[in-house]
Amino acid sequence: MTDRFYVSEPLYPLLSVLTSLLTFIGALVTAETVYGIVFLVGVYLLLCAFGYLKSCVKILPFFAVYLSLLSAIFYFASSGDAEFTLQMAVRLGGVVIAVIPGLSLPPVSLMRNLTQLNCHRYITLGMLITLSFIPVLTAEINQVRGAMKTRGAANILKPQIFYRAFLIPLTVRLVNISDTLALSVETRAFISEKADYTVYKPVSLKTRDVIFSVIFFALFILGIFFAVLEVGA
Amino acid sequence: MKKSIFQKFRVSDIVFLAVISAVAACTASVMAVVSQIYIFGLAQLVTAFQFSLFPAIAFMKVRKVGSVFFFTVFTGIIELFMAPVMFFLSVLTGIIIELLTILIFKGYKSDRAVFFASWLIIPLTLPFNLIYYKLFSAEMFNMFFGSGFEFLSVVFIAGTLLVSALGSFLGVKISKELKKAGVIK
Repeated sequence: MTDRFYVSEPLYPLLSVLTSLLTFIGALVTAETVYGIVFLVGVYLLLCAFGYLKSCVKILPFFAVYLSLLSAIFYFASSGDAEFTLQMAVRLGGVVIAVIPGLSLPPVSLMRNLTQLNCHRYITLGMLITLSFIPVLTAEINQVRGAMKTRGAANILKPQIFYRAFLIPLTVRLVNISDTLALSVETRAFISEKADYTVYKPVSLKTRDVIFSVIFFALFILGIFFAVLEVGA
Repeated sequence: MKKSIFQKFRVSDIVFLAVISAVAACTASVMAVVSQIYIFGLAQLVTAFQFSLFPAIAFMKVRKVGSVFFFTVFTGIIELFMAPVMFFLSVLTGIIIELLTILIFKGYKSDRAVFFASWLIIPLTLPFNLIYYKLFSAEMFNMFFGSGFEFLSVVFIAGTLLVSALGSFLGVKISKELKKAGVIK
């Protein structure tokens, strides 16, 4: 599901998180000016140039539907105020573009990075499971829905059916999966006590990451600077 | 012998909390659709059920101080890429709920403590969101409270409290049923 967005050579994981954070903030701050669009287009092209082209292209259909649908709502809700709609579209665009570095980052890279930085192992283990579990969950939900249909309980909107035929089987599956997963983690030598460990494939900051950072921060700072200048004037 | 309030987490506890966090975060993805509709309380209303039902199930199984904190950190990691502010607000909420639960119930041994903790996860983000908008984002504050939808906000806030309570109640109920059936130990 989300793994089809993973790129072979992602940016340094913490830099990816920072990029998401600053893209989101940058879009919010610059939304009222033309620099909002410049900033977002700049970040999008920058990501395309630094190995995220496939993810950027794959997200485009979702981007288009999400943006046009909500922009249409804002346009009609504001009685045809095009300027307001554009500002909202920039903010929405910021959310979508901010997601790209995170969506394209294999969770294990982030965990390796955090482990190298001596982050608590429980936190990294939990984060890894949370981020990796979403595709499994989708399959589980489909299985439960399939079982519901087989038993003739297809209407999930009925509270009793939702509770008895969907929620309870799903919870049972989650408990079973987590028990198996815990056993699997423990048999792979993960222990809660303090112990020496090695990071398989350590993650390091590369020249490419530094170049990306310099261009991204320049875009971010200049975007905000010109936006504040324009709003001030 | 009297048991300590603080108990050590086992790997299975962390795994269960992480799996439940993934479910809660995934089912709350509808928030992405409403996040740009500036009516205060709407985003919380649409996530209240998922963020009370699943934590209640998690805390019924892992009745240890720190469970709420771990839950908010694990769900927060997904929020971090979409709405970074939410990550910090969620973790802050988690810490406050932990403190309140320790002060009032001395841990998660009673079902009332579990209900209380899971009920408050989303409603408690409301005041923090308000403070954040007031202090750091006057523009967002104006969008939320200058658009003439203040009445709807009151309705949504009340709805959030009620839906959260319903979710927590169902979570505790499901866990009791599963305990009775021997699925949850």
